[in-house]
Amino acid sequence: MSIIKMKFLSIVGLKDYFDEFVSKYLVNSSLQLESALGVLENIKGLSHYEDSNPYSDLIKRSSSIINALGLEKEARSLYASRENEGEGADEVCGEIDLLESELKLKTDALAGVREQLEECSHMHKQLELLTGLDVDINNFFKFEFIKFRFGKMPRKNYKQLQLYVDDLEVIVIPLSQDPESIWMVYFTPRTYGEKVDGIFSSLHFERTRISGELKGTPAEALRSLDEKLQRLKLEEAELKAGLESFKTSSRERVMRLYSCVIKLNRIYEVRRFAAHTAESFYIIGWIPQNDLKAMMQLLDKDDRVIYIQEEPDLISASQPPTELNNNRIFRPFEALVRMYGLPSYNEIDPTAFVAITYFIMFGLMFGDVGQGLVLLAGGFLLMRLGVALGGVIIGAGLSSALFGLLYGSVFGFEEWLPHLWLKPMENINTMLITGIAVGGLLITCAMVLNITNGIKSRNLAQIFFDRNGVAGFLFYWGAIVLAVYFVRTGELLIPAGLTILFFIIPVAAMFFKEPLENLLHKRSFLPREKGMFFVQTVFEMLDMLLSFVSNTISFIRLSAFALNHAGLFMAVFILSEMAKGAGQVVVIIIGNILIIGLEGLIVGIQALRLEYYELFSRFFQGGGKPYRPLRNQNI
Amino acid sequence: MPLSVSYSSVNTKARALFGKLLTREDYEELAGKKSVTDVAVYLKKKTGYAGLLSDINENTVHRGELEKLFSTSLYKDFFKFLCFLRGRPAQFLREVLLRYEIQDLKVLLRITATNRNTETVADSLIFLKLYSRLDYDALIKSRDVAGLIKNLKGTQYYPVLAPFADKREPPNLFDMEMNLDLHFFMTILKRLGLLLTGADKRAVARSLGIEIDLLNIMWMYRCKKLFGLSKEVTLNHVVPHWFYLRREELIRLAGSKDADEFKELVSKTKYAALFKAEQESLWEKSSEDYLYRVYKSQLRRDYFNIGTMMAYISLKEIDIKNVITLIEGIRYALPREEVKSLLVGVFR
Repeated sequence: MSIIKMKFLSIVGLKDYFDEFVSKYLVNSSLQLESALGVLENIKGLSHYEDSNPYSDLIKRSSSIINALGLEKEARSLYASRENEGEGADEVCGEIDLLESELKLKTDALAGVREQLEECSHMHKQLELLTGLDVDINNFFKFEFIKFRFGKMPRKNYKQLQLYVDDLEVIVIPLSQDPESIWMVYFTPRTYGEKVDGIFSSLHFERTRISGELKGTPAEALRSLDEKLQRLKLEEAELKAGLESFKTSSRERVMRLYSCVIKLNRIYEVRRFAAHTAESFYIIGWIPQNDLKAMMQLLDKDDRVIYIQEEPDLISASQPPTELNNNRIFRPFEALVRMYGLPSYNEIDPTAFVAITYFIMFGLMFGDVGQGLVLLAGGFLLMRLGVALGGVIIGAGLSSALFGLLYGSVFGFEEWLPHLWLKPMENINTMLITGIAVGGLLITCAMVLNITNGIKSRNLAQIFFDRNGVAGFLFYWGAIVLAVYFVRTGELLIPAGLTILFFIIPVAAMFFKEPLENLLHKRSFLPREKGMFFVQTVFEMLDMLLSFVSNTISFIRLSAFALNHAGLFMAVFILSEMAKGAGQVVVIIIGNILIIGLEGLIVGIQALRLEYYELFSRFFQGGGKPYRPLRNQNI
Repeated sequence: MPLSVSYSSVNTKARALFGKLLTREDYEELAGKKSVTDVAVYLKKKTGYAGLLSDINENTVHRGELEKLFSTSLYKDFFKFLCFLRGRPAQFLREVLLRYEIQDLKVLLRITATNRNTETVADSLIFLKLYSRLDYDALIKSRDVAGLIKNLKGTQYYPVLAPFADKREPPNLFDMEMNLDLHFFMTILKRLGLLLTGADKRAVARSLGIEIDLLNIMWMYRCKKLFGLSKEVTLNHVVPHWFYLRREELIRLAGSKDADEFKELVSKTKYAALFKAEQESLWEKSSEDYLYRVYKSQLRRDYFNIGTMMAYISLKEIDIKNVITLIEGIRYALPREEVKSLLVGVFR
C-alpha cells in the first residue's frame, strides 16, 4: 500500500523515430530510466548513444537569464511543455540570443547611470568642503603658490602612500571612499608640483576635473550638481522600471524557452540511458502501475514502437525504485524513515509504524497539556515555513497534550487538572513497569514486521531461524511468560514440553541459522572453519540473550523521562519560591521555555533513538533506491 | 566558529600528502641522474609522484609536460582539501587560489606584450584553462595587452589593470605584474582578516607576513642597486604590509642612499642573518630556505588550525619548484654539487 507498485517497461522502436518519440511520450512521463545496456547485456550489436550533452551551453545561458530576471522559483516548478513540439535547438538558441542582447542593453544602461551617479555623489562631497567660499571655482586652479587636485586613488596604493606621505611636500585630505578607491584632495606647493604629481600618478591617482564641468562659486556649482543628481536619479528609476516591465513582458517567453531547454535536456537524458542497434532503439525503465495504463494506451496507438511490460519479480538485473506513498497524517514521518534509509521495493514501509510508535513514545516521555499545545503551535508554524519536520512536531505536540491529560499536568502545574490515569511521581513503580511493558510490546511488533518482510521476500531463514523471526519470537515470549510467572508466584514454571517448545528448539534454530540456510540453498552444511564457526556463534548467542534483555530494559527511559519531566518542574517551582512577586512568574516562564526547548529536544532524540536502534535494527534493511521519474528532472 | 570547524581530517590529509613529497634521499639520488629520462623513471617508480606520472612515457617526456602535470597535482590537492572544509576556512582556501590565477595571467600578459603567439603557451596555463572562472577562450584570443585587459572587464583584475590599457604607450609589463602581485597580497590579507579568526589567523598571518617581508626586502634592494630609485618610487614597489620588519625599518630601507647603506640597514633588522652573504645572488636562496623552515615548523606545530594545510601547500610548491630546478640542472649538465646547492630547503 504505502510503497507504490512498479512495472518494468521495455520499449523498442525505429532508430530514426527516437527524438520524436521521446519528446512526444516520455518527456513528461513518470518513467524512471534504467541503463538499457546494463539490463540487456547479452544482446549483440547493442551500443550506446555516444555524445556529450550538446545543450549544456543553452542550459547555462537560459538559467542565467532566469536568474537575472529573478524567476528561479517559478522555473523550479516548471514542467517541460508539450505545445511547442516543433521548436528545435537552433530556434531556441536564436531566441535566447535575442533575449540576452535585450537584457544586456537594459542592464548596461542602468549600470552606466549608476556609475555616473556614483561619480557625482563623490564630486558632491568634494564640493561640500568649499561651500563657504565665495570665489569662482575656476580661480582655485589659478593660485600663485599652491596647486590642488581632486581625484581618486586605489586603496592599496593609498596604503603605499601612507608609508611616506609625511615626508612628502603635500597635504592629503581623504574625503570619501568606495570599495575600490579613496577619493581625496591634495595640496602641494607649486614648486614641488611636478614631483608630487609624478608620484601621485605612479600611484594611479585619477584626477577629476571639476573645473571643466562646473562653473561659478562652489555654492552655485553645488546647486547645479544637485540638479544633475536629481536628474540621474530620475533616469535610474526610469531604467529600473523599464527593466521591471521587461521582466513582466518577457516572462512568458523566458519560461517557454526554459521549458524547451528542459525538454531538450531530457531528450538527451533519455539518450544517455537508451541503447540502439543499426535500425532500432531500446528504452527501458520502471513506471508506476497506476500510470502504466495511460502509457499503454498511448503506445498501442503508435505503430512504430512495440513494448513489453513485466512484473518486478521477473527482473533480476535491476531493482525497482521505491516511492513512498502515505496519507497526510503519516507523511511527515517519512522524513524520519528516510533519515535511516529508504525501504527497498519488497520491504514493508515502516512509516505508519514509526508514526504510531513515535506518537506514543513521545507522549509517554513528555506529557504536558500546555507544553504540548505550544509544540503543536510551533509545529504548525514550521510547516507553514515549509520545514519538513513540522508535521512530526505537530504529532509530538498532540501526543504530549493527550498524555498531559492522562497525567494531569499543565505547564508543570500538577494540581490544576484532575489526572485521568495517574501521576508519574506518585506511582513510580507503575510507571517503570509500564515503560518496560510498552517496550516488550514494541519489540514484538518489530519481530512480527520482520517475519512479514521475510514472507514478502520469500526468505525462509529470515522467517524461522532469525533472532527476530519465529525462533526469536518464541524465545522472547517464553522468557517473558517465565519472568512474569516467577514474579507473581515466586515459583519457576518449567514443564518439559514448554521448555522444549520455547527454549531448546528456538535456541538451536538460531544457533544453526547459517548451516540451515546453507541446507536450504543446497550448499555444504557447515562452513569450512568449524572451530571459528562455533566460537563465533556462541558469542553471538550470548550477545542475543543480552540484547533481548537490554533492549527491553532500554524502554525504561519512556517512564524515566516522564519522571524526569516532573522532576525538572519541581526544581523550577523551588526556584520560583525563592524569588518574590513578579519574579516568581518570570522564573516559571523561563523554566517552561527551558524545559520545552531542552527536554523537548532530548525526548525527541531519545524517541528517535528507540525507533532506530531498538526497533529498526530488528526488521528494517533500508536498501531501497529512490524513484526519480523523468518528469521531475529539471536542470 | 571553533565548534563547527575541525581541522583534524584536513590536517591529517595534509600530513599524509606531505609524506608523499620527495625526501632528502630522493634528491640525493635524483641529483646523480644523467638525463631527464632517468629522473622521470625514478620519479615514476620510487616516489609519491608515481600515480601522477603513471601515464607518461618516460622516454619522450620533456620539462614542460612534467611542469604541467605537477601544477595540476597541486591544484588537485586544493580540491581534495576543499572536500574536508566548509564555511569560512573553505572560502579562504578558495581565495588562496588567486595566486595561481595571477601567475597564469602574468604569463599571458608577458606573451601578449611581446606580441608572440598565445597558442604556444595555451597548454601550460592550466589554472586558467581548467579551474578559473575567467573566460579562458576569450583571454587566449587577445591580440595585445589592451585587448587582454578589455577581456578582463567585469573581473576583479580589471580595475587593477585598467590604468595600463592605454594604447598609445608601450605596455609597462613590470608595473602591471607588480600591481597584480600587490593585488594578490592585499586581497589575501583582507580576506584573512575577514574570514579567519584566532589561531587560524595568526598562523596564516605569520607565514604570509614573513613572505611579504622577504619579498619587500629583495624588491627594495633591486630598486636601490640596479635602478637607484628614490625613496618614494621604491616604496611604490612595496607591499604596504610588514611582519617582523618594522614600519620605520621599511621606510628607512627604502630611503637608503645606495646598496651599501641598504646592506648596513638590513643587518640591523630581524632578517640580518639571511642577507649577510657578500654575493647578493645567495640572498634569494637563503630567504627561500628560511621560508621552507618556517613552513616545516608550521606543518608540525599548527596541527589544530589551518596552518598545517597551508604549510603543506607551500611545501608542495617548493617541492615542485625543486624538481623543475633539478631537471633544468641536469639538462644543462651542471655539476652535481651545484644542482644540489640550488634546491630549496633540502640540503643545508
